[in-house]
Amino acid sequence: MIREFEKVILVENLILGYHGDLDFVKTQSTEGLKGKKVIFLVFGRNEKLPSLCIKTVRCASENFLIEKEVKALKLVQQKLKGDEERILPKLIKEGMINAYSYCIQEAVNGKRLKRSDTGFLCKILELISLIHHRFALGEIEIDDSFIDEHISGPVNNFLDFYNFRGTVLEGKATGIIEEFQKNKGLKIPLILQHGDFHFANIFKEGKKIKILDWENFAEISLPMYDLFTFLSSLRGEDLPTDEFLHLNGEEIKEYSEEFNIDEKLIKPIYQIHSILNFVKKIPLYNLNDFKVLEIKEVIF
Amino acid sequence: MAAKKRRKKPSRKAQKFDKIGLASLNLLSTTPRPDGRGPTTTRKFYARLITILLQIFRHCAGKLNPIILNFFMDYVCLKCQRKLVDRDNDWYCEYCQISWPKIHGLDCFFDRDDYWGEISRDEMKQLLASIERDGWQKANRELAQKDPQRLKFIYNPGRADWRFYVPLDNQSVVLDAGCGLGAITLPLAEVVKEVVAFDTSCERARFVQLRAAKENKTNIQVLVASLFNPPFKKQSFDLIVMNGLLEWVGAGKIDGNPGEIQIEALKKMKELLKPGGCLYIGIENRFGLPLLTGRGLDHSGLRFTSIMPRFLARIYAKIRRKSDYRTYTYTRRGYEKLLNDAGFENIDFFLPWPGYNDTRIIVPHRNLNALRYLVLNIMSSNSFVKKIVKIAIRIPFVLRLYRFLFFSFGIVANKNKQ
Repeated sequence: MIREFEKVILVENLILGYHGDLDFVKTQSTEGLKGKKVIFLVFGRNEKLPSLCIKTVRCASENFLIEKEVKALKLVQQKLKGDEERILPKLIKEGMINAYSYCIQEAVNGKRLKRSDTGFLCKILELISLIHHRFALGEIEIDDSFIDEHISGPVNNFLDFYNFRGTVLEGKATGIIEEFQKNKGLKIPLILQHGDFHFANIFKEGKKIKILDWENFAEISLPMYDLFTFLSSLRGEDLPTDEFLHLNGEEIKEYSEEFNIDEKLIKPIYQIHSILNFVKKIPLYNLNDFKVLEIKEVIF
Repeated sequence: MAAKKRRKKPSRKAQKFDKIGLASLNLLSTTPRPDGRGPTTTRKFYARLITILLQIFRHCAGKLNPIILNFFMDYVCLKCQRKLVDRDNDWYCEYCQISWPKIHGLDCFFDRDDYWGEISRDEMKQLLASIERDGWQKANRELAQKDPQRLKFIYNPGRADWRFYVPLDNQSVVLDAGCGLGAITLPLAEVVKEVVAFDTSCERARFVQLRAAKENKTNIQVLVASLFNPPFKKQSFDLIVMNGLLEWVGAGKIDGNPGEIQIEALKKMKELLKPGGCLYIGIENRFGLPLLTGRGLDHSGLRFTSIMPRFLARIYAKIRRKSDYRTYTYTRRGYEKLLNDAGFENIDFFLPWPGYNDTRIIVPHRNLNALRYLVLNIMSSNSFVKKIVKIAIRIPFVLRLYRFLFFSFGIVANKNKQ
């Protein structure tokens, strides 16, 4: 058993580049951020499973990713008192070495959820509801300021970034804004959002289900984003809006009833989600010219 | 009694000036003239002006600190090893009276017109012209349209992630030998004091230079040089990177045994390392599974040459390609011997997956448990063969065999500290 003290020393050595008595498997996130973050799974010499998971970044300008994840883990841990152990990886330490942020988490040794694991669907939907209930921040009325602040602003932002694809996005974006303008006066709940609630970020560890990779979280966000991300990752990401809403109608209906979301708002919220997903899928070469990370900052 | 006039305490500003040696300038303005009168207004004015200019310079120097304080690596003469003089258009050795040119601001210490790379020379020239004419965005898009994988190859920062395994800090000076298109140079520049990158190809070095300028990396020094005769003094670097280079070293010379040429190159690198410095090599395994099964081509451009005995590979290459077989790769033991012969010690092996040029995962060679975890939990099992491998890997012998046949190695070797 590795003592806490030793873990920290070794981790700091690792970040500085030395490796001591432990061995590491380096991996990197493959979704969304295209590997801006580096993950180390730490093995003791004779251990068959990793005991620790160290996350760090490739360059100091990405430090905010780790800081965001740490913030999210702390926040969610606080709110999910009693349930946190079965939902979150345990945060062991956070810090900075040579201007690089890192955090150490307990390694999750379960198995990644697969597309075919539909048996877990109910359990995960319950989980989304639980998290969203604990983080309910009240409701907000849809008015001009809401549309300007939460819809038009971000939409214009990513249109600016992806101006060469503007022709594809522009019509959609103005459509969403118009849709929200039509629905002025309706109320919408604001909640915490995981931001990357992909099935591959959900692990089965015995009976527990653990949710990983919180670096895209947003404290105040529109509802349903996580639900849509999860359902689209499970049942096809490129479905047209109506088809998607029809296919997942039951789950969406259940969720919207639970959170009192007006039916009229479901479609525009899904469209926002699909635009953000579209942005995520822009191939790697664009990362060099456009900073997707800045878009990640947009709160939805 | 007249009150004694107190001498005014110098202001903080004045104290600061004194610190930077401006007291002498104040003297300029207060020195009496020969007839005993005080300094002229003009003298006062000039003194004040100089003070202000110095103040501005000091302020700017503070802001440009990283640039001004980034002392670039000195070049030495390739013949006499004396320091070269920086002239406008060339580097000059006063002792040997030889000069080496600067082309487009690129220091050229290699006169052979050499080019290699995954992009043809003409394409490379077009790309450079496009970058300079239309900017990076358009040039990248054009390149991506031809082949998106190329862009991934050039810009994937994961190719330098082995850096987490070597002792580097913000004071380290690194040499990226055979820097190619800078895929490793740029991520390394994020963490170290200075990266010196060289390549034998002018076009590729120019690309790295433009890329460094675009990313505002002021701690990258790019030049054109040969591995066997680089213009640096001994013991200059903390880390030397030879990613995908060692296997080509033998092909760089027409005569001599490629193995011996490789040892010679390694010895040269060892000379350039500081005591206790580190060498990183990214290279294929001679018996890597794709080479063994014929799915991949060897560096000779032919199948199976790496697994043949050398003499047979030579004959085969001469028949098939009318050229000698000079791109030697080895097994883990072979590399160990090669590095020991060159005088390196503490040699560590890593297994980069899927390969050293597109690294997602790095497993220490000695940790079989970690390798098993990689195969069972991280690798995909989307084909029948992979599914079989996943089942068989639980048997210790198969696991060891899989390690023996792993596609490529990341090797970290140290120079002794004395």
